[in-house]
Amino acid sequence: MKLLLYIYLVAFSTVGFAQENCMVSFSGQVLSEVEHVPVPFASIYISELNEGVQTNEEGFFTIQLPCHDKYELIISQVEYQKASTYISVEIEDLKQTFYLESKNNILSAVSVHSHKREEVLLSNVESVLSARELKKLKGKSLSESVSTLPGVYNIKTGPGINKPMIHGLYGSRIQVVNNEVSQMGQQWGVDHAPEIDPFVASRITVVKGASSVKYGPRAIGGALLLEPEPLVPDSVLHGSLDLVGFTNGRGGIGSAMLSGSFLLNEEESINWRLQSSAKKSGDQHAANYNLTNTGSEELNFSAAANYIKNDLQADLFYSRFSTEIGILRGAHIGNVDNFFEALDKRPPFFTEDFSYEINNPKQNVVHQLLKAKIHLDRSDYGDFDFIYAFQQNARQEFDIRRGGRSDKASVDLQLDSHVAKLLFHHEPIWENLSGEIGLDYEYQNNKNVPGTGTTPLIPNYSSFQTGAFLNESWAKENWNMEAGLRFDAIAIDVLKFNTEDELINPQHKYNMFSGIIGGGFDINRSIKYKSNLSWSQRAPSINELYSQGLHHSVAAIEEGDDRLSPETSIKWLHSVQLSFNEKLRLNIDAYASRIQNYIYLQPEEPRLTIRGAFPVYQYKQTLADIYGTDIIGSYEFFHHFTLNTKASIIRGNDISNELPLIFMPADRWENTLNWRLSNKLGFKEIDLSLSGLKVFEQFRAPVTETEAYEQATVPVPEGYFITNFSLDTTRKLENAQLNIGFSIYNLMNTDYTDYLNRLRFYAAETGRNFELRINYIF
Amino acid sequence: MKTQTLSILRSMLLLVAVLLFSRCNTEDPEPENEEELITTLEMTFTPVAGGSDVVFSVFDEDGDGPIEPVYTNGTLAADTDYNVSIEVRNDEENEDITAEIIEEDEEHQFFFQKSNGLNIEFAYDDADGNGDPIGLATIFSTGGASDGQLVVILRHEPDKSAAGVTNGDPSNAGGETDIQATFDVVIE
Repeated sequence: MKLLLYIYLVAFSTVGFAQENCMVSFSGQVLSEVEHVPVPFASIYISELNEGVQTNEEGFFTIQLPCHDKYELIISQVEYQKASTYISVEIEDLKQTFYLESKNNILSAVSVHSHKREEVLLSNVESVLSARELKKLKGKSLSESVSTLPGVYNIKTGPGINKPMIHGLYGSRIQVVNNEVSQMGQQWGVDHAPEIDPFVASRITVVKGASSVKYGPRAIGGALLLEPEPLVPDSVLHGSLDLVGFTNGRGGIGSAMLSGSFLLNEEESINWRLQSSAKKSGDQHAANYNLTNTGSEELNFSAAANYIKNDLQADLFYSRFSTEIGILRGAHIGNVDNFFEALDKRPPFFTEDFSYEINNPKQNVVHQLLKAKIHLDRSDYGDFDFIYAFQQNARQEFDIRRGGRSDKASVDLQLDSHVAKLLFHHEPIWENLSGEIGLDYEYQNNKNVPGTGTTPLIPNYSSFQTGAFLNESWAKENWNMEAGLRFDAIAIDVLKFNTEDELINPQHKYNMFSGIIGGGFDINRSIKYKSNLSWSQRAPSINELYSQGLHHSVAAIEEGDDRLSPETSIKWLHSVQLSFNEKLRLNIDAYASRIQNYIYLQPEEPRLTIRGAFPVYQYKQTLADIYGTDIIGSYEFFHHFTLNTKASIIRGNDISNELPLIFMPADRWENTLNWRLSNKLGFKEIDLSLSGLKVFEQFRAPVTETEAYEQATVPVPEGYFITNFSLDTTRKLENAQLNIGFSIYNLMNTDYTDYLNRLRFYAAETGRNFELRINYIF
Repeated sequence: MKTQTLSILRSMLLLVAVLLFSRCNTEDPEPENEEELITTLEMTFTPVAGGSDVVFSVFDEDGDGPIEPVYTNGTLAADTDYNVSIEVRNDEENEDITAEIIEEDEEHQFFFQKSNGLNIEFAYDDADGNGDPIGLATIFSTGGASDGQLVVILRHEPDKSAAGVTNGDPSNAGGETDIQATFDVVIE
């Protein structure tokens, strides 16, 4: 399926003469996917004929083929990912262009082998957003971008805060890996978005199986990997400029990137890249009213440099992400009565005219990352990676407060983390066995910055986690097997005041094991199957142990429990890729997981306070099952006119309490009509797509959610259908490329709410939005 | 070459060791006072025609915490007009919140809701800078003997211009409830 995304057949036929024995000439060019530079010496192999041809230095090739037949082409070149596709030959000569995705972008002049893409476990199910797809998603947040992939969902807190969910799990159960470094923010909060500038990434991979073995215990529910463009020697100065404007929010985004190299000699080089992006948006708009105080601002900067000499590469990377996000004013409430008054109120309370102003409630977040890496490539026995990174996450949340205290943050947390990783990837032994062994260190120190005038939501703590892991895989022509093991130990040291205002120092230690076994088998050209079984454990996170306090947007009190034990998850994953012919393709993923000691919020007796009665939720553990399926299919009606379909179904059950799990995504089905034109109207490519997304009602919301309050029932959003349109063009300029895109989201200006939006009680989702994207690369 | 790279690796490890172990201690938290804590609401009924005061009060020492609020209820006389004044305090810090409310009077309003059957009516007897009611001073008039509940609500940032709000109906007011106290009232 992945290959399908990277291959674009660009064909135009010329009428030739039908010969006696009927042969046609099939010719074309092979180009690289991103830069569109010719790929020389690529082999084009036709398996039916057992015959092949190589491209010349300009990437061109020609071969004679018998008429009236279909052939499978396998295109390969060492520096690029192998691709396969079908062609159908009639009696006319055929000319096609093929695009190959680069494997590691090395320049042949300087031999370094260190730019391997992040390698995901072979048997794991992954979905990728490559540079090509990301181009269309520029201006979207990280979570909005990845939620276009099947099995990935977007949890919202109003329009400005987006958090990814993979197969029903999110937050502390997903590991975000940014530029090879585990992201260390306050990820436990449902309203805490990943603190990452999506413009840095040139490729985003979502690993949908448990990948704890490779990315640590937090990857129990999956991982999100962001990779920047590899920094490689290049004598030419490169850069890109992005401008995005959108009507809903009357906002804009600008991003600029510049990279270059100092080639010191044949084998030594210093390479650098600078990048910055900025965003400003005012209040967004639902279909029928303004969403007051939903503006946001972002300012990001990153600098990367490396030194490459023969088999050594040393990297230094710094990035700073800062954002200010307004939260819908009408969603700030005091007690349960306010909640039910707001539930019926449309437009929401406090709705005013459009403004760029960001008032309370709001969040200010600054995330800084400093990373150093050394890579050593020993072709005789393997390669070493050593990564060290320091991260500082400062989060301030401002509330509506009395007595002129609104300028004081109600939540003011600073999290400092150090991570170090030592990795050894050995060269294949016994020809087919390759693998890696690694050590992970993580130190976190979280403090509440004094002066908030509120009881802290989570306490001051420091934690130290060490892990060791081993992964080995055995790969043959058409099958592979792999197995991995990992052990982690975490020690958490907490300092907090108890209810009697005495300073206490609880300490926790947890051991966590994880393991994976799996494999893949290409049954024949049209059926590929892979599966894995994984076991993973995760220690309770700080909020599950210690959170205490009132959550204003849901009028509920949440309380941690310091006696919680680690969760243990077993997940079985299957993936089948079917390609019936060149027109019809299908990919079905199915998964089932059982989580022992699954940590969730259990409703307790309501609490009486001077502000009225509040529902109380306490973190408890239960036995849970989560299973589901993701289906993607595509059918090509005629040349480059394709219907893509995507469906996701997920079910979650709390087995001990015989209830459905709360906050599970509703069933969804999306269909996209896509029409691609090439070399028309002066454009290299014109891509039109119209998509319709149907999200069904979540009929399986637990009664603990719908009947949470004595006063009345909490409604679950109805199903909805929204349509989006987009037009993307690519124009080749001299030594440059210009991409212009235009989209209309929520084309019909549908008024709807989504179950996964935590502010769904207060306002509808955003209405129609026109967006223009300009991207210039040189 | 090999010794050189190994020495780089070694120095990196050392650097990390220093960074990891130099700040290994959890920082001592500073005690924070819940600054906006409201512990006490006191509602004093003074008969217009003279007589002794009747005081209704609620005391919740930990705000949102698990300790339940303690109510002191009173008995009102039938067919009597009362001047009612409200005092709001944080008794944990000896703080008078009434003053804060007066300072931000346009952003605060009290609402009074009675259960069916309780024979009592009220009228606002104060105004903020815009001439809208606050509710710190009110006049309550009792009818015949009856009993029931009186709910006293303090809203922060209500929309006083919304329909019914200045007449004492909070349903269109929005904002956050800072106090919602339910008193048992007996009129005899």
